[in-house]
Amino acid sequence: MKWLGRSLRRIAGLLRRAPEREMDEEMRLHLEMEAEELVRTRGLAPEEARRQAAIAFGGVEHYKEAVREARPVRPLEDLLRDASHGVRSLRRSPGFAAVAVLTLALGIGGTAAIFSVVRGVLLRPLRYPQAESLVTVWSRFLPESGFDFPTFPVAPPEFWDYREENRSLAELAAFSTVGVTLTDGEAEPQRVQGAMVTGNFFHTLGVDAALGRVLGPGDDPPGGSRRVVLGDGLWRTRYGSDPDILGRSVIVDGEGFEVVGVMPPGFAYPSGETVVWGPIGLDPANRSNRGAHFLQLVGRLAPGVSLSEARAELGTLMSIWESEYPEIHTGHFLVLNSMMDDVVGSVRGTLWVLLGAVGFVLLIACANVASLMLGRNEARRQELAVRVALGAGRRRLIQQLLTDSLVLALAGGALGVALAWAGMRAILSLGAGTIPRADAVALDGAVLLFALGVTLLTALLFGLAPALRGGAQSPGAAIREGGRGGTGGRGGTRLRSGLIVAEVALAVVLVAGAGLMIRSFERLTAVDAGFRPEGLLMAQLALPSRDYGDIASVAAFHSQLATRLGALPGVVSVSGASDLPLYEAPPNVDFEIEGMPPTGPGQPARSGDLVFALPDYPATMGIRMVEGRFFTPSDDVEAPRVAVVNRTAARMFWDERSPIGSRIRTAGDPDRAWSTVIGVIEDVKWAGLDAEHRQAYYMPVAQPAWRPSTLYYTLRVAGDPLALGPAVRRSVAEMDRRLPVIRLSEMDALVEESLARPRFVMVLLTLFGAVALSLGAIGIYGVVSYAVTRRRRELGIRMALGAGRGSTAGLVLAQGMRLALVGVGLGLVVAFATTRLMAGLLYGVSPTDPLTLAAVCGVLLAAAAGACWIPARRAVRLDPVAALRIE
Amino acid sequence: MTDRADLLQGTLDLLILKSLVAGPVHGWGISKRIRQLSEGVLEVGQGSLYPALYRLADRGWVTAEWGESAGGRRAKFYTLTAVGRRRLEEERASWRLFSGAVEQVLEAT
Repeated sequence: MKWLGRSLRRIAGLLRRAPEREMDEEMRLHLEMEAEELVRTRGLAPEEARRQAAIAFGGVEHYKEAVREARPVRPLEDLLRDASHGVRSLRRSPGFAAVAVLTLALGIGGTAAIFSVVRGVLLRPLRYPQAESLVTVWSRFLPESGFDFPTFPVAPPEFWDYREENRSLAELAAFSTVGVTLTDGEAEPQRVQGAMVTGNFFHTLGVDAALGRVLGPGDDPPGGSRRVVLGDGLWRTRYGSDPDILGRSVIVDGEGFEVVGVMPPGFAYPSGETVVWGPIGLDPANRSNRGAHFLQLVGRLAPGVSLSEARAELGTLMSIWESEYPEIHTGHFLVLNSMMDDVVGSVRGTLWVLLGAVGFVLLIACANVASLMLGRNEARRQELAVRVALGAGRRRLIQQLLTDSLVLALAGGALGVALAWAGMRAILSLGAGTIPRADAVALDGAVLLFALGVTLLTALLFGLAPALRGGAQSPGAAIREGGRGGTGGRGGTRLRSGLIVAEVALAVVLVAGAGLMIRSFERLTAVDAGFRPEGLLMAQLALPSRDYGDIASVAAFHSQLATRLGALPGVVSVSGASDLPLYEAPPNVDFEIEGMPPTGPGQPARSGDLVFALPDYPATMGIRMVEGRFFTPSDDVEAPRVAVVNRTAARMFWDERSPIGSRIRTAGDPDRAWSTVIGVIEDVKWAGLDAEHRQAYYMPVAQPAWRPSTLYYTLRVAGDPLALGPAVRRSVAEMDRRLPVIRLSEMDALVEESLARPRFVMVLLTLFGAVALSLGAIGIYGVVSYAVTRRRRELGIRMALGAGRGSTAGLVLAQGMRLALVGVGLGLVVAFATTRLMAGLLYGVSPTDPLTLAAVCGVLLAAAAGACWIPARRAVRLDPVAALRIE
Repeated sequence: MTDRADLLQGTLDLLILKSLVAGPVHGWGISKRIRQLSEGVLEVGQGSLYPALYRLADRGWVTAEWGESAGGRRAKFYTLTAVGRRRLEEERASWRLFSGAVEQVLEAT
């Protein structure tokens, strides 16, 4: 603070020095001339003449002030003078300054940190030219169908039809994501994310290659071509930024592709991990497979067309489709989203709730500092009164007090920006993996500007009331009081009480938000996932289709690897499946039940999540079998085909009868072979702990309707699962040196990961709640403790007259608790109105959960009682005689 | 102080402007000139003189410049501007009107 005051004074001096010095000089000259005149005319001795001249002249400072007032207002000069005065006066009360600056820094820093995330994620346009005109297209089914996903892929004929029929889009491109294995050169085999795209994909996005060229329509004839574009990161890490990469061949999934371009850094679409783009090779002539949903669409609105116009046109087209293809397009249609909504839609509500919550924290901080300032101004009444007596106008005094606030706010803001930077880093690492576009978050100019704006607003918010009160000084009264604890501060006390009530009310809202989030998180973690994650190791493998083209070789590989892994020391049992609970949900695939007619148009389709699994899956995962048995090694490709359904599917499609013995066949099976249901397995949470159970059916990996691309091995281990990692990798390498283990992880860790988003929100809201609670408690403490100091005399008299300790403590407690009660009541009303905004973030808890709100009130009142307790104890320990003598 | 008249509100500007007609003077000179011309009746308090000078300078009726006084000391000299001269005429006219009116009232029986 010292340096700040010094430099402010220096700047003020630079502006002021010349005129001020001139004034001094002019007045000194005047005095000298006057004295000489007196010597000359009245023959006074020089000493006496000077004295008389000075008496005649009067108070130099007073005239200087009058001269300053006579000049036009110099806002900057006044501001700097006041600021330097403010800094000096703050340095005289370092305790007050430290608490106020820290409080403000917390509020401003927290707000700026959350805002930096909101701005980066929600407010910044996506990094494409005219990104606001980019749209995505998804298919949608009516909720009754059972697959009412917000984003479901589109089938190729739908893509071609829509592309030809629409007039709203300048471009419409399709792509499909794919995991591929790179095996070129001497480098380790590497599993990466790729996208197969139509020829207009890059043109639609409006991006160009940094090196070479992007794929164009000529690269994407029916059947595709052997050309790829690489991402910047892949080019740097795997190919050593080779400038001659163009024209080179890279091996993708065992086949050679020519590199035609390298994308600029930062380009990664559709996902942040996508690093390879190849042609998709769709044939526009083939419009037969209307049910094969595997395409994602991205388009660009034609110039001048709005999103709602494009949506209206799409709606019209959909009603035409419905009459043209009633069996497919009844209750099934395409929807159009803005790309921005698609990218950040899931996190938007969360971030606004957090920004709102941190805004509340800022308000509480303001109320707290305002209350502190009121208290300080009460203590400074004499100083202020003297200033008024010396000729400072009301306007001038208010200006000075507001400048004090500004100095505080700026100091708080500066510290706040530092806090914001740290906070932003902490938020990003806490929310890693759950915040899209995290790379767009930065403490940039806009955020700094926001912080400055918040700082100025804050200064006004917490400074105005104290300044207006401080400006209304009646010099006589304050000086006469002589700083005695008179009754003069009644209005100020009422104002402070009001602030404390507001603070407590806001704290109730924040603590309620935190409480609800904690309860919701508890509920979430208490959910039975249907399997036992502890002691489970997961290893993800993908067999490239070139080396494992036929189903028999896939089955043979898995059976051998499972045997090998099962023989490792410490492994209790081994199994695996095409998907992994809480990590990757299985695809939804139609199936038929033998002897039951297919469902009609618009009816819930007979479908379920299809999982391909190895034998022993229930035993390894810890999933209970409801009835029947699971697959065994003897259910191989030679044996009769078998299937297992989950409990929800059994209830949904077989009602009360047992499905065992029924035969089903899945829609995608080219052989159209029937499988006999041999068991019913307990439901498992595939899509997340907060997701509803869905109907699912399992088929053996060894009897595949098709080849699952990825297999998640699961190993139940005695001891530390991760310690087994190297042995698992070795076993895989022994089977196939070129096969990468894509991911190796404890199942426990994956469950934790699936809880990252709710945990992120819970941690932040709990933090805000804790800060709010502490600030509220500090506020109550400040007011009550100040009141005790002021009422020392009164309390002393009461005690001298025989008031007991209990009644004295009660008096003090009652004062604080009255404020707390009013605040809690008010807070409950506000909480009822605002917590519903976070309904979308809660699981299994109502936003107005009475239990939580009751607990919140309890916590708040306990904190308030604690805050009152310290001053109450001080009051009780007052020595009546000393208290009376103090004044 | 009975031999000195208090300055009427608004007359100070007039007196200052008038005292500058004869040429540039410094602050003390102005107060002395007013004292002399009024034969010691009008005393311009220094506390009102300098604020008034700054105000007049601000309105552009006088300009201030540092120069050397008769005694060889650095002093700030005030000069009447053209605008100030016009202003003086206006003030003088309104003062005449005012004082004439006051005189008339006092003379009435």
